[in-house]
Amino acid sequence: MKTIYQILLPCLLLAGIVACENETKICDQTLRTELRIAFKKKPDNFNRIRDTVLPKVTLFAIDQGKNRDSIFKKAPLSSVFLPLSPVADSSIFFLQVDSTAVPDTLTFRYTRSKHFISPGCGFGTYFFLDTMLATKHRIDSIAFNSKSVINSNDTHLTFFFAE
Amino acid sequence: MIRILLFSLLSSILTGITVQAQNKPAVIKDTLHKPAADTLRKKGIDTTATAAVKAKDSTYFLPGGIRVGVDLSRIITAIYYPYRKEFTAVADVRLKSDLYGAVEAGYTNTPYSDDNYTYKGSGVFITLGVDYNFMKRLYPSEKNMFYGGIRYGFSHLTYEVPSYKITSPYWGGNLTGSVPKTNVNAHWVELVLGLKAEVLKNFFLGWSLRERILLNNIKTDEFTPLVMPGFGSGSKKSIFDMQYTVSYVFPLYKIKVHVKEKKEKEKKIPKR
Repeated sequence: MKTIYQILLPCLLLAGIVACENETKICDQTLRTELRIAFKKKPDNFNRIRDTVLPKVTLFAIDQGKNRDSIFKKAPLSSVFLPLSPVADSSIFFLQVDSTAVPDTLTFRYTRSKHFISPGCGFGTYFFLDTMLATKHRIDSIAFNSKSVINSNDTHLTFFFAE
Repeated sequence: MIRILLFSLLSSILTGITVQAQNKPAVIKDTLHKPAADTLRKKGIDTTATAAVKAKDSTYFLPGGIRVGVDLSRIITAIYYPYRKEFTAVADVRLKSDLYGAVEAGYTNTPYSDDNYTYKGSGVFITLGVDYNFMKRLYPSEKNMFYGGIRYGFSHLTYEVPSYKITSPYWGGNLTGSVPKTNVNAHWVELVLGLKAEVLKNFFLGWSLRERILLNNIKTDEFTPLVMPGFGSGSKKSIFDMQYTVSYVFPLYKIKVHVKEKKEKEKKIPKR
């Protein structure tokens, strides 16, 4: 009888170690809380809304008058993700939907709150949109879907284009 | 998740094997302790001379005591997970032939730091409950156990995040801050299934599987503690864990067990 115990005890001990996982080593949740904007065609005569792919989208942030690196450069897109700045209460973006189109400027004002994502990922930021200002050179109209940017799965804003 | 499932499957198979192994020789059991029962009862027969039929009642004693031990699995967790510095002491006391009152207590220290944040946590816990031995004894003094148990657990934790950093690869720059000292209490229910084997006189080795279910919410909007003392991960609502204990029983008293005469035999008497 004792031999059975002697075999079982180390086996279970080993299995027990394997069953555990070190939470500080894994960051499986998406760390990014980015603002997602979907592009749609302006409602037609029958009030139907259709997704649209804009052929050459260029997007970058403007930080204190300086252009930052491009997030997208002449890419065909139906939606874009905007990384709002976690170190300031507003972010300005430059959006050009076509290489020949007049660019639009998007200004976001928001409040931030820190948020613990997981032991492996550490802290992140939740954004709550306050106001949004946009020039309407190519954008026809804007709709808010969600003002709280707490993950990258939602569509937070929808831009309607005339063409 | 798959790992945990595999582990529980494996352990349940292994447990099944041991239970079978334990049960097989149980047939011998009755023959072994019958003579002892009869000799004890003889005195009774002498005093009650009127009883013409042999009385089947018997009384015998089981070794009782306080068992004290430590959980060795916490040493292994501390090696594998450097941020989990834990100590758990276990104790149980025999209340009835198969019922034990059980208590576990310990403390946890959780120092952790990486590129994103530093964390300090420390706290204590206690669990109280009972264990019930399912295994039939081969002989009255056998102390090996296959048991199931239930516990109520309580722990108190103090944690703080002295510094954290939120970085933005796109915008550049860091946002730093801290979370002040926070106290949090946790309550949980714990289900236990395990074995204890007497490997040397009064010296036991044992393992047990544990399922802990948290009863209150310990997360806040700001932070989730990394480790809750005695419970485990602070971000989970239920935890599967195991324990590997070495313990020593202090045989302080004996438990009197009274075996009543079987009723079937009583019925036979008036028929005569």
